[in-house]
Amino acid sequence: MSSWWWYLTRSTGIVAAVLSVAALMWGFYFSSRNMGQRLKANWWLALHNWLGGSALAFTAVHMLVSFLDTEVGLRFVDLLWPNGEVGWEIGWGVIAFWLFCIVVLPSVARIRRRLPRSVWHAVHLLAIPAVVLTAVHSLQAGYDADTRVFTRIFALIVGIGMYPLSVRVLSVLHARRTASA
Amino acid sequence: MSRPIDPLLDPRRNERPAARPTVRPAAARPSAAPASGGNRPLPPPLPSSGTAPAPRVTPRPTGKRKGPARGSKVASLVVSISSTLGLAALFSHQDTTSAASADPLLDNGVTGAIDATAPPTTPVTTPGGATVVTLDPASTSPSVVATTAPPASTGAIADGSYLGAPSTNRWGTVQVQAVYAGGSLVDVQILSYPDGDRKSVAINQRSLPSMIDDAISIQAADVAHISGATYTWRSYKVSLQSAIDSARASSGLS
Repeated sequence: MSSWWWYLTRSTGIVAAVLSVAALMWGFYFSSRNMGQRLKANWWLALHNWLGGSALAFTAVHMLVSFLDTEVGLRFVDLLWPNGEVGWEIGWGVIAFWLFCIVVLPSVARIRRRLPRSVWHAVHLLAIPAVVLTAVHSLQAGYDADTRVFTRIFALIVGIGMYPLSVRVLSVLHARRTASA
Repeated sequence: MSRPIDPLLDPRRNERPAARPTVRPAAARPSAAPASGGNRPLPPPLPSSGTAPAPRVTPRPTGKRKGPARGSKVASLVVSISSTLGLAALFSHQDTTSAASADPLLDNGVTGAIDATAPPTTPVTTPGGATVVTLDPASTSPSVVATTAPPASTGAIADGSYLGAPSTNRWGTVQVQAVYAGGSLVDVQILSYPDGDRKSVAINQRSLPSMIDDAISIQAADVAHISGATYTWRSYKVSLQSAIDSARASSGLS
């Protein structure tokens, strides 16, 4: 069973990373209003929220399983507080986890209603550094990081993620240009 | 007259539909409505006491409303869980396969920059010839045989090689040997390190030389962490600290 904790640690980490990237991409599509005609806006928003929550849940499972794997040797404090004692490749993941918490929890409807939109939006943008730190964590601490399959999948995800990011950046630029005109 | 197939060709498509009757039934018209209302939609009649019929109230559904993207949410959850389990099974299969087809050349041929030349069963003679260290493969405790008496109350560690205890982690065992000359740590020899797979060999060949240099420079086992080699780093510290403790004990230092 000990080895299975290790396998699950790796697999939940990979799935959580993919879900976080997917949530970010959905958010870019939704916020840029580039959703097409076929699906309604609430479909995109609902799925964006779902993917974000799933990413956080799988990240929590990833941390729990790595803690249960005694051979990894991570203490509870190592999972919650980034420190150099176990190496910053773990610390980046811990910081990313807290950033995801900060992003996801205020998006719960009851909390979001009480926040000014500008504050909520600024907090929500923390998802971008969170995903970047997730990538750094996976590249540095990932046992499979230097395998050919991982490298190709990583490049594929980065490539796919560039499109919604570009769409979002262009939409922001267009909105600013329109507002100034 | 036959109707064309293409509706755009239908000559009647631009005709305006016949005017709808604007006069509503008298019973539905409120008494206060202006007579010149035309085809403007009229508000529904207000409920009044007595003769007016009670408005029909459609009961609202009491069940949970079906949320948007419900199917996609279920699909993403199923895909995520199945991917997690599938990847775990794939990793398990890979480990089983790599363990079965371990390359025996790795154990003998790959030493790289690591100074792992000391065979465990051969006595190791120090550069100064002062101490002989032997390692019994069946024993896990370090054994140090000093051929010269340790210097009494000089405060320096006697020259020689001192074996550290093996430290086992997930990927294998790390065991080091500390070499002292002139009272200071001059070398750390790696007797064993995790080399069961190519990744472990690559990681340890990259990290161990840095740890050796670090230990020599700080004259202690508390070397800086090397990113990506946490397991080896921990085991290296444990084994080297054991060797240093052994050296100090052999030299009469507390």
